[in-house]
Order: sequence, then structure tokens, then C-alpha cells
Amino acid sequence: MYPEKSIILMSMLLLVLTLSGCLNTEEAARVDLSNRTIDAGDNSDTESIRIAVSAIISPEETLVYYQDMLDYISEKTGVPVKLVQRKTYQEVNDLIRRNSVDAAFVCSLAYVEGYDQFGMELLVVPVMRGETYYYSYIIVPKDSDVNNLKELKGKTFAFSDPLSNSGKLSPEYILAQMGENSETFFRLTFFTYSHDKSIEAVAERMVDGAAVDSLVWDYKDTTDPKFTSRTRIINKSRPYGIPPVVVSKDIDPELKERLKTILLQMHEDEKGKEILNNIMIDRFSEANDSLYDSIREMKKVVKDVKGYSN
Amino acid sequence: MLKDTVIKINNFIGGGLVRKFVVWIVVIIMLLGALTTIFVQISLTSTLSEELHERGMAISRNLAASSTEPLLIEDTVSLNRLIGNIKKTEKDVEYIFITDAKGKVLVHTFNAGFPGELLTAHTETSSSSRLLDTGDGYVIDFKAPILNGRAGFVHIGLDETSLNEKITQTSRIIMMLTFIVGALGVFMAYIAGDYLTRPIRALVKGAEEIGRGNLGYQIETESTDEIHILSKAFNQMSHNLNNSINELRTSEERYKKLVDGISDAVILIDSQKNILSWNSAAQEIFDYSFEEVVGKSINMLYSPFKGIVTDNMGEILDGEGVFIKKNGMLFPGVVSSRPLQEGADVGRVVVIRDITHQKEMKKLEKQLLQSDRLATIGQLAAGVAHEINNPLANISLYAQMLLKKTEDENAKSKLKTIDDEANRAAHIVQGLLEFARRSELKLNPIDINIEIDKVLSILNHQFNDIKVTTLLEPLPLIYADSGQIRQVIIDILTNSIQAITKNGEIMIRTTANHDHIEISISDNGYGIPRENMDKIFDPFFTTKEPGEGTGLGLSICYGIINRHNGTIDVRSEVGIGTTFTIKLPV
Repeated sequence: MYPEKSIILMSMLLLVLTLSGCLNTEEAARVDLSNRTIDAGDNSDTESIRIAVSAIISPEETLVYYQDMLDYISEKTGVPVKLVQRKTYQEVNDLIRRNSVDAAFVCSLAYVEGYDQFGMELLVVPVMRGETYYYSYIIVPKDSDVNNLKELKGKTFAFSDPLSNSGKLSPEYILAQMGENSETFFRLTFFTYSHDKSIEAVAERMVDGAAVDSLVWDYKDTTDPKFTSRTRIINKSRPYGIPPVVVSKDIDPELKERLKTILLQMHEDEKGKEILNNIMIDRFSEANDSLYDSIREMKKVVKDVKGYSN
Repeated sequence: MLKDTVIKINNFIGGGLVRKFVVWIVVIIMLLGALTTIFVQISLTSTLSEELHERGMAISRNLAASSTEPLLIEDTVSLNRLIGNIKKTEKDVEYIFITDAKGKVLVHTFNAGFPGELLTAHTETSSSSRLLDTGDGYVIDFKAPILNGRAGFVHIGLDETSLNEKITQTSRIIMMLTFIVGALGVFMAYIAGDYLTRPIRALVKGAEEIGRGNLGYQIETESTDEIHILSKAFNQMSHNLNNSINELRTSEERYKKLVDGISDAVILIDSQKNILSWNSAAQEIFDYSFEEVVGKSINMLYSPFKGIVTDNMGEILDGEGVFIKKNGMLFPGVVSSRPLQEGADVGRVVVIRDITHQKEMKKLEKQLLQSDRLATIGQLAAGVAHEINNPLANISLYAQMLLKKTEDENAKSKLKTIDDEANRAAHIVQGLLEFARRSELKLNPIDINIEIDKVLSILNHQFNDIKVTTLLEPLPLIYADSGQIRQVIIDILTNSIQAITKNGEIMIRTTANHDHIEISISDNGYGIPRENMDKIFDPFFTTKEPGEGTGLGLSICYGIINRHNGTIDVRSEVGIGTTFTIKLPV
């Protein structure tokens, strides 16, 4: 066999093999990773209005439900509005105390605490189903054989937040009246840091029971009964003052007035009305601090029983 | 088209079957290998990159899900821990970063500062991937929106290098395998090619053997395939061929013997009258070897002077002819020819019979008859002459005596006539006696050429207008009676002169042969009619008027030459001339 002819054939084959290695389907975009120009964590938004929303419902849900409203406010004021969220009510309260946020949607108990501790000011309260009240529900899984709070003894129980009225103070109050406290009455308790997560936890039978905000449960039961349908309410508390919109006492009075006006008039224009409808708020109304006296009462009782300190 | 290409490639490869087999096998293996490599590479690339994509998507989506809450509550510590963990635990992760809804980078895994270009490199808002060229290699940027992009976006960059390395490695393995298989293919194809072509080579050898004339060569085969059938057919063919050829040979030999057994020359000629073949008798007769005549025209066998080869139509004439041998000797022969194939001009079979012997026999017979007759006449004449001689002498004597005694003039003239006539009769008687060998030969060594010259000088003024040419070869001396020889020449020349009417030409030739000399005297006179040819040597035969010649001249010549143990011949044709040929022994 003559080598030269074979070499020609072999090299043709090698060429084919080499070419086949160069297949690439997608065109790549040039990016220079060495040019590091931006520092992370630079979160300053000096020009914007910062509105905090406590995690009454989970931050994801909060974003979904409140973004529209904040965008509405931004549109009305002509200033960007930033949604600020924190895991706990306490952290939001701290933001208000430091005047890091201009306004906040907080839980009733958080308001009571903030009012008492650093003069948190009530801006407006939402009117839902014509009321400015809400309740605390004790819920159990739908097929649970527990029918009242008593029967949850020795079971597991989920609170929402330490500063939650409906998710913490209210059940503690009921237990206190029964001469019990949560730490001894339940086998295990923990915080979910939002009511929707508490509902989910009960529905998924991760816990035997939970205390949740009636506004959240009712809203979920109406809009997305995926989890609520698998829960059962075994106890409904007496009415409490609805979670309000608050401002820091150090807020620019002009901004406070503008915000208040916008919120109070929100249901009057078409777009505002729609946004409010979506989150089942009829409108916002002015309110008196006395609306929350019942909570202050409960707090006192609970504190007396187990030295509750918040 | 394809066939042409294959033929071209085969020509390009060159060499024998085994080599073509090996080269084709290797080419096929290499092509298949290349195709496999390409296929595997393509499918591997798509599979692996699909997997990488899925992984990237899964990681980014999971990260998007798990980073939602920390992102919303601005828990950057948790976010950092989250992306740090993923970068540590997941393979090929080049970077991770999370932006808020407005595209502001919240956390990232770059050590010092964030590369601004990366923010604009992948701007789609849905869950997607984008291939980036970082200069060091390719990175796929996976983007997953957090809460549909309302909260922000997760970006994960997966390095493609390891994917390409895997593909390259696999390709390399396949290529190596291809080469190993190719090498094995060469080896096995060589063995298989050698094995498969063995019967073909045996066939080729068989064909060569038969081509070399080794008919009946048999091939040995072990296989049971088509080659075996071919080999069997070949062997059968070889066997049959051998048989046929043997039969042909036997038949040919038989015919050759048959033809060679014929004493006549049998000559095969083609349509151009070129000799194709002849038998051994022909070879003997003409004395040429077969190689000297094959392919040459049959005309070479005919005497150039006498032989009439063809008629006007170009056909060979049957009948008598004169032929020439290799040594130039002429001989008479009878020709008969037949076409090889009736109605087609493919050649002829020509049979030539040498009739020299027959002719000689006939001539001898004739001569014998003549000399017999002449001898009888001679004896008779001698007897008569002897008896007449004395009375004639007495008549002449008494006539002379009376002549002297008488005075009467009338008587004198009559006596004179008696004496003259008696003398003339005596002269004739003398001639008869000479013819009848009554006169003694006076043999002396003589040169015939000199005798001819003497005769010519005597006859010089008799030739008048006749042109005499001599062609005299130097001759050996022979024992002969010069006077008698001279008489013969004079007699013949006289005959010639008398035969010539006008524009006469006489040609005298002498030739010396090894045992005899030859004198030929030719004239262009009116010739001798065929019916007289047999009688010209007879005594008293003459065509002249009575009283003009005795008719003894040629018979005396015949007698003289005969007594010299020679021969005298005449050939003549009316209107053309006559040739006398005298042969005398040396």
C-alpha cells in the first residue's frame, strides 16, 4: 500500500473530524467580567417615599397585594414609592421609630406597642366589609377531631408574629382566661411570621392548630380557598380594631396630610376603587386610637398571667 | 456518476483486489467513525447542553423561589448566604447575582465589585438563558424572575467549559476507537481480502496457464460460493477445451498425413493468391522451405518466361504449365485448382503435378523408336549402297571411257550426263554410308567455339541480311571429329538460312555444363509445323522441291551427334522460329 495516497484519505477524514468539533449553535454575547464597576447593596433611595408593610401576610403576597396601591400613591404624589418589608412586626416598628419609613401598614398590636413606646401615629384605617374591626380565628385542619381550643392541649400550634394581635395576643388571652399559657398548654409552638403561612401550615397538617387574622382567612377563603378550604375555624375571638396605616411621629406634616388625603379619597376614583376592591378594602377612613383599647386590655391580662413583656 | 467516481477512486487506489478491499474498508470505517463522531458530538452537545440548561433553569428557579422572602424583607445576609451556598455546592457555577425589579444588583458572588456589563448582557424578563463569551470561555447566563419580576431577578452563570470538555473527551474516545477499529480493519480486511481473493487468484492463475497453452489445467477450490461455481465452470471449460484441441490436433494430423501422402504439390492460397500452407510433396518438388514461401504469391513458383498463372479474370488456369524450382530449374507440371469454399473468394487449393518424368519417358520412347527406325534404314541403305557402289563405279568408268573415244558432240554431252548422274548417285550412296556409320570417327580434342568461328567464316557471305549473334561461353575441350561437327553446324545453319524469309536473326549460344556442353542455334524463320516435328531427322525427309535437297542433311547430323554420344533436339513454333539444341558429353 502506497503511503501517500492513504495519507491523503486519512487527512480528509481528520479534517471532517476536526470540523465536526467546531459545532456551536448559539451566538454568544461578549461580556467583560473583569470590569467591576458596581458595588452591591447600594440601596439608597433618597428621593422616594418609603412605605413599609408588615408581614400580616407573607412578603410575596404582600408584594402582590400592595404593589398596586403603592404605585397608585406614587402616581398621585409624583414621587417613587418604595415598598419596604421586614420579616417581623418588630423590625417594621423599628423602622418607624427611626423614621426610616414614611408610612406603614402594621398590625393592631404592633400599633399599640408603637404608640405606647414611641408615639406611632395613626393615619387611616381600612374599612372592610363596612367594618373597622377584625377577629382572631383559631383554625385546625378540616378533618381534625378538635372542636375547641381546649382540645388542642398537648398539640402543636402556630403563632404568626410575636407582635401580632390576632395571631398571638388573642390566643394567649384566651388561654390566660382558661388559666393556661401557650408554653405549657401546647406541646410545641412556633412563629410563621405571616398569617397565610399559618393557614398553609394548618392545611398541610404541619401543625395541629393556628391563630390567624380573620381578614387574611376571609380574603383567602374568597379569592383563593386552596388552603382555607382544608381548614376549619374552631374559635372566633371578639372584635378587635382593624390593623391601621400609621406614620412616624417625625414625619413631614405635609407628606402626612398628602398621604392621608390620597388614601381617604382613594375609593373615589375609578382606579383607586379597583385597587381597593382587589384587596377587599371598601375605603380608608380616619380612626381614633380608642379603637385599639380592647387590645391594650388583653395585653395587660396576658402580661399579668405570664409576664408578657412586649 | 457514482459509478464513475468509484472507478476513478479504484484507479486512484491502484493495485490488486486485496489492496482495494483494504482501502475501501478503511475508508468506510473512517467515514462511519467520522459520522459517528459528528452524530455523537451533536447529540451529546444537545443532550449535555439541554441538561446544563435544565440544571441552570432549575437552580435559578429554585433560587428565585427561596430568595423571594429574603429579597422582599431586604435580608441581604440571608441572600448572600443563599447564593454563596449554591455557588459552593453546585458545579460549574461561575457567578450568581440577584437584582431587584428595577435591575439594581442586590447581592452577587463576585469577589470585588460587580461587572456592569453583565447587567445589560441578558435583559429578557422571562425565565431564559443567554450564552455569554467572557473572553476566558463561554458562560450561560440563566435568569429567573422573582415573583414574575416584580420583586427582582436571579442570574446564575454556568460555565460551559466542563460541558465542552466532556464532549471533547467523548469525541476523542470515539476518534481513538475509530482509529483502533480502522487499524484492526486494515488487518482483518487484509486477511479477509487475502482469503476472499484466493480463489480469484487461483482463477487468474488458471487462465494464465491456459493462455500459456497448458490446456486442461484444473483449479482446486474449497469454497461453496459463486467462486466455486465459477471455478467448476472454468475447470469444465478447461477440460472441454483440452478435449476439443486434442481432437482437432488428431484430426489435423490425420489430414496432414493424408495431404503429405500425396505426391503432388498441394498448395493452399488465399484470395490474394498468397501461399497459406502446402504439403511436404510441394516442399520436395519446389525445394523451398515452408518459411520461405508462406505469405508470398504463388506466382513465384511459376516460370517467369513460360508460366501462365492466371487468365484475364485473374483466375488460376488449370492445365499444363512450367514451374521453377528454388535452384532455378524449370519443370513441366499440370495444375488443377479448386476454390476453398464454393461461391466465396476465400482462397483456393492448387494441386501441381510434376510431369517431368512423364515427359522424359515419352521423349525417350520417341527417341528409341527413331533410332530404331534410323538403324534399320541405315542397315538397309548400307546394304543397298554397297551393292550399288560397284555398278555406279562401272557406269562412271565406262561413261568416261566412251567419252574419250567418241567425237560425236551429241553423244559426248549425253555421256557426260551419265557420268554426272552416276557421280551424284555415288555421292548419295556415300551420304547413306556415312549415315549408316560406315565412316570412321577421327576423334581429337577440339574447342567447339573455334569450330563455330571457322564455320561462320566459311558461311560469311551466305548470311546476306541475316543478323548473326554469338553468345559463346568458354568451353572445355571435348573429343570429337572436328570435320563432322563442322558439317553438323553447317547443315543446321544452312537450314536456318533457308527458313528465314526476311529480317532474319540467328543466335548461336554455347554453354558449358558439368558433364556436357550445349550448342543452341535459334532462328526466327517460319518454323516447323507440329506434324513434321517427328520426321525431320528421318532420311530423305524434306519439305523442299524434288531435286533441291536430298533430305539427308539433318539425318546425317543426327547420326554424327549420335555417334558422339550426344543428343540433338529441336523446338519450333510456326511463325516464331526454331531452336536446335546439341548436347555433347565432355
